[in-house]
Amino acid sequence: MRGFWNRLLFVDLSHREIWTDSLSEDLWERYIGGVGLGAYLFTKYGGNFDPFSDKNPIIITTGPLVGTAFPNSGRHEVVSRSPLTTFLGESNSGGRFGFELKRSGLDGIILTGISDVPVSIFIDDGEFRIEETPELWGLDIYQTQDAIRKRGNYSVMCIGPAGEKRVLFSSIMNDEGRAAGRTGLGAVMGSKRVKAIAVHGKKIVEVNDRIEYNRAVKEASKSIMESPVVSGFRSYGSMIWMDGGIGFNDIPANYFMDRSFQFDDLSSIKFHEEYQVSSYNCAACVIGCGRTVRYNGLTVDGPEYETVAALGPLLGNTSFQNIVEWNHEINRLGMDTISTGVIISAIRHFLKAGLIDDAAIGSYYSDNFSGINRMIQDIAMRNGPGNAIADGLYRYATSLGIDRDLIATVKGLEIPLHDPRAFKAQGIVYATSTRGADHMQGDMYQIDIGGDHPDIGIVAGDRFSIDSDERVRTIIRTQDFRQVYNSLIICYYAQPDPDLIARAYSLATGFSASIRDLVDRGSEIINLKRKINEDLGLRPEEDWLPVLVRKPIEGEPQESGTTDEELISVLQRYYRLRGWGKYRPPQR
Amino acid sequence: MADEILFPSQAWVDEYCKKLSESPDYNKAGKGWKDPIMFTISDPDSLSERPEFNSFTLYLKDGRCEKCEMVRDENSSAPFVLTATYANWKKIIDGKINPTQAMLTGQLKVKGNMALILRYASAAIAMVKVAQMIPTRYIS
Repeated sequence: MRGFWNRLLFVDLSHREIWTDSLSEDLWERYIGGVGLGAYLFTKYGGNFDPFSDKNPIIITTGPLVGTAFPNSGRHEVVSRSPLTTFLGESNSGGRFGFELKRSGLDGIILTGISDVPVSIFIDDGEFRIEETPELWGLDIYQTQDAIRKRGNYSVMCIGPAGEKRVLFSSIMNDEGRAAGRTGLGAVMGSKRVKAIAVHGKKIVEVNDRIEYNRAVKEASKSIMESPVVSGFRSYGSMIWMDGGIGFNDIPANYFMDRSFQFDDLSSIKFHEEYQVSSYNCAACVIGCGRTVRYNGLTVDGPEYETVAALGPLLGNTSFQNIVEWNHEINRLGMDTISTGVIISAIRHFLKAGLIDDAAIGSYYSDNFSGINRMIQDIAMRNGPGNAIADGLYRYATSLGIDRDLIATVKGLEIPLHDPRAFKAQGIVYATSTRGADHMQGDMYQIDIGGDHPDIGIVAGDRFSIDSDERVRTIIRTQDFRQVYNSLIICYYAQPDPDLIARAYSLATGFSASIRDLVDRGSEIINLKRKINEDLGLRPEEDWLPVLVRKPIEGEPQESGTTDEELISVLQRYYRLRGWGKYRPPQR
Repeated sequence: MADEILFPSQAWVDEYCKKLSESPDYNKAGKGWKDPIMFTISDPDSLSERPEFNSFTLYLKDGRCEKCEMVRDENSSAPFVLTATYANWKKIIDGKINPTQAMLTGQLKVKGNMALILRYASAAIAMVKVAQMIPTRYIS
């Protein structure tokens, strides 16, 4: 077996012990790496424990392609029980951390226990140690990374004050502003009093057939670079969807209520014309969608599409200046920009609709959003009204008696910025995804504009059509395929021929697998994650989508909406085709 | 039924330019657009009947078509060049592929500012609808 070290680092924080161990070879083959491996390790080391208990592990994994030159494979995955959803939490991130971790001679890290004082973990090319770092506690994520980098050439993963305060949607940040943002895993890291993990590695990852592997890498890189979408990402970052998405009505405005927004104000073209923007690549990336921007004399991380859409149209804000400032603040304090943006937008809508009557909260939105920065800080520090908001939209809104159909969450995770009325199959992915409303478990918005793979059963279709076996099979196959991406681990923006991905996997590991074999393993990974969720208390009615994002927007086609009946019918098909026959959709 | 006009031909392009300027949908959706666009067929030699010209340029401005011309010089260009096979142009005009979708998936290759052209997705749809109003004869 190549492409792995078969070496996992175990850190028992309660007893301050640290050691490495291996797994049997068949497990590496079966679970691929990344999220597949992370889910398996969760079954072994986690369970139905409070997310903040010493028994809830944080599992950080790489994959068989990570640490090599395979394009866009410089990623790592974080898995734990999510304090936000209470189900299996998972999130992956780019930057250099995964690349450096793999090159340090480790495939992953499993943190268990709780430290009595704040600590950080240092990994130097395979040597590792736990250090007490109380001086870092309280620092923001940029200060933390700067402080650690003064001690060596490290890639740093860390939490900010929000993770320390256990904000339920806090992120684990790395390499400046890259984020394992979703499902609140920063709060789990904070509960363990782990401020940072610093890693530096320079070992060469051995692959099974170096010459042929390099050829596959070259072919994949060429194929990615020739993609028209990639040329757009390279020129404008992921923010290009602010221009591309409007043609499909994919960008929601005013808390998903309408599309009455001056989208011209937040065009990616305007941003690149008016701001001093630079691009950067994650490790092994051939695209370079990352952005930094000059702001108030500082170079800060530029906002991605999801962040611009959440803090712009969804909130009703047309100022890029605001978005750059808030994005920096949310990152700095260590929170998920999607969840934070959706929550801020939701509360504005609840205020306007008279569902909340609270002067302190209202003051955040006065004078053209002048209080939003303060609101972000209050949430991150759990100050005043921010304390309740820090528990996430679902808990906050239900505590106020707001109708569940008005709350933009699935399984407690805030809905991202691809509108289920633009691509109805995306809504089915949100409803059925194991981690909640999630565009990274199945990107039907890309598939249905033609980014399909018919050879593996992923076929583009009418974006308003979902209620047929053919369409549901494509949704399922897309979710399965993306488990493969999240396990190898590859960035979604890189879409070489799927056969090339399987070839690279086989050449790297020595495990012979076609892309169909890998996608079948992706299906097993989904089944495993579903089983874990059942053990954590998942009820079938959690597979649902609120009316908020199913009701057609005035002036848009009626067929863009999804009725209760249609959703139930599609869920029935989904369960049957997944082989989850015991499930019945909720009756409404 | 009106006589069908060959695509591409000077007569087809003249009619298209005229109808674009007359279309309220295109007038509205194309507002703010300032650049000429060259449309090119990438595979003229594979067709049963080679068209006289395989490219034409529309001078589009603020939702109107100010001028059009068939492109004689193979080296000529424009701020935006859209290139597709004849079969894909037919699919786009017939409404079988959404033009934005065609651009994002490489069935319609874009030279020029991708973000800007994506931004005018509704103008592209209006252009397709106008093209569908022309009784068109395609090369088989």
